[in-house]
Amino acid sequence: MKKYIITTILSFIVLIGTAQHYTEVFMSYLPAVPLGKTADFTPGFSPRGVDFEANHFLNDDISIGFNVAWTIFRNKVSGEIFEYQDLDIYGTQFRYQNMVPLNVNFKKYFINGDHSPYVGIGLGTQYVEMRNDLGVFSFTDDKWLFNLAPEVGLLYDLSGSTIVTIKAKYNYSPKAGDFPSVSYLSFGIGIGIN
Amino acid sequence: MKKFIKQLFWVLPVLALLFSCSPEFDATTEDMDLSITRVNDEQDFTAYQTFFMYDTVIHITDDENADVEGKFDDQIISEVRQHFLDLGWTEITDTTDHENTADVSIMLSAVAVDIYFYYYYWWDWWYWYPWDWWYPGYPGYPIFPGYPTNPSYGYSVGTVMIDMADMAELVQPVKKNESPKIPILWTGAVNGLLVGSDEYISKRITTQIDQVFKQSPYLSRTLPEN
Repeated sequence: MKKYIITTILSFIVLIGTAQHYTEVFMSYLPAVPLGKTADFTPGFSPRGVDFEANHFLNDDISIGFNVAWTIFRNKVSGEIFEYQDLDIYGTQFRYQNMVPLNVNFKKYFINGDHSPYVGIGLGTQYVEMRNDLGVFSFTDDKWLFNLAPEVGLLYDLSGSTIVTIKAKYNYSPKAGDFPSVSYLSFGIGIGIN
Repeated sequence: MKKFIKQLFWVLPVLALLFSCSPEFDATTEDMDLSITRVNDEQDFTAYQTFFMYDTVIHITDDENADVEGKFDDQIISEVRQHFLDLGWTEITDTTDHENTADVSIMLSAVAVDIYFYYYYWWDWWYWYPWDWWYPGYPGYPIFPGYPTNPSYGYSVGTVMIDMADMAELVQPVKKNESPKIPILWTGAVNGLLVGSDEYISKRITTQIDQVFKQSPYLSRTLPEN
């Protein structure tokens, strides 16, 4: 778990280090709702999410940037049997999914004074870890998957250098081998500087 | 006002990190209890009607001279026997020729393992180092100098295993140093933390043994009602 914090913070430091003039850097609180196979394993809204982003403006209304995020879904399941190979295991299941997408972003802004709605798309990879804890045993599977993340949002210029952002982002990773597909919808609110 | 709102928004990402730092559930002792069964899906039990059960729970330990208390042995033997009788099995009690008269033999065994957690503050990782279960008195892995550790905690985990063997299919060893091989048709196991009073542990053992047989309906010898 802690390795995900270190990964995201280190990635953000790299982003800050490489940021140039007219680059905006954001940090957002990112709760999410799982969908599809992700919801089958860990249903329910998750308040655990954060993302870091840096966007460099190619001109006034187009930017290219990098985003790293971390979202955790979890679910407690009681009274069900978990099948593992030829074992039937009955007990309380503590299920966790950690998602760490790393994307390159492309965004188009529609500037309207100090409000700038935007649409964007992220392409990259996503590290996913699925873990099921039963008793003193833990079953873990993880994979690096291709990731696609379309996004819509709004930037609000609070002052010359401080920006507030709200956004909705859909993350999708197709299945790879036996590893199921991943999909979830994130809602972000954050703050940035340029 | 705008300055206050600016400062307020910077709190949000910090809250996000704090939220994400504690994603683990808190588990009760009962949450850690497991009932496990193992059977080949193609195993056919219809030919088996009688069982012989050993009146002993074998305690697995490396120390041959260990004086294992076995305070729950009588309870375990009694409950497992009763479950098989309730499922319609007939018990063979003749100890002189049970290998040839009983369709299956039921063997009970138990093992306790100590698990310790060491908290390495410097790296903020949680490690667990299972004690070698053959040496329950071993102090554990050495701590490298320079890595300060907070006090660790640990607990004992107990497992009771119920094995059903087909003695008629026993294969005698060919070589002297080999062991006989017995096909195990079904295994039930209960696993949990050995914490709390004897009455508390006893109640949980009963619950878990009940569940083992509840999730093994194929063991029933009772004909369904028409």
